[in-house]
Amino acid sequence: MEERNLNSKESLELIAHMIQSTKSKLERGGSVYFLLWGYVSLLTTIAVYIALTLSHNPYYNWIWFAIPVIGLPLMFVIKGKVAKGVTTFIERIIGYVWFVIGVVVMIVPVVSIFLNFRFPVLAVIGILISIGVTLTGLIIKFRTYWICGLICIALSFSTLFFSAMNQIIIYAIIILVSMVIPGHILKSKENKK
Amino acid sequence: MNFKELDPLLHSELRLAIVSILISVESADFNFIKETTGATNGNISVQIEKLKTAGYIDVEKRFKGKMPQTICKITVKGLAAFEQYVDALKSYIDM
Repeated sequence: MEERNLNSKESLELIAHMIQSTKSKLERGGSVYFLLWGYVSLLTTIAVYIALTLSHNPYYNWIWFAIPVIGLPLMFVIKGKVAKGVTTFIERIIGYVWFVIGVVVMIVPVVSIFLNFRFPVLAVIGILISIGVTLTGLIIKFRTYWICGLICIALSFSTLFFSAMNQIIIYAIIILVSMVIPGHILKSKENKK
Repeated sequence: MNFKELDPLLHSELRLAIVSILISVESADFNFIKETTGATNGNISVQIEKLKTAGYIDVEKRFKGKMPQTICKITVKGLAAFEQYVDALKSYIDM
């Protein structure tokens, strides 16, 4: 591309081509955060379930804190690698949504330690994450996300009716349905483009 | 038939491409513009400077780690000029 004058048809074609090219570049890389947090959360949930089942020792609940300890540094490493050198209003809004949800999700289990009654941590975190997934799907107009998000809001409420161990199994399903599966669907969509 | 005058600053392949990219995003760095347009560093630098001088874009230079980064954003004036340019183009297409 150089400095040359265009006729009107070429100008319109160039504008359309640049907008389309920018749009398709922006659509790449969105799935990576869902897959990262999805797999870190899923593996941690499985680890907690196995540890509690085998030991019956509640101290193994501390394993939950592996999610931010592993997830946050990995996210910053990946963020640097998938940076596209461009920011959009939509990306900024999604960033704000997940920042607020992320902070609250980290505060909830810490606060629950100091409560003298059984607080439904997994249900609350499940609802928060599912709201994030639903909002992300609505903002980027990706139906799979918001449908999975809504399903997981219902699943999160359902955990309230189960025993603590069964709640962990349902939470693993929530992570699978809200983050891992839609993350892979978005990734395959990105790869096709 | 009344033809509107085309803004000479935008009626150039590379400058129009840069502005078309910037209307779709909040900001874009030099490398993104280079990758999307396929133009050379020198050519992009010259055209960015012309657009900046005209007040069509804002250019911010900063560091990402140790690497220098040039961030471009379209201005209100640039957006208005782009809209007028597209309107003018329509008058040629509808003739």
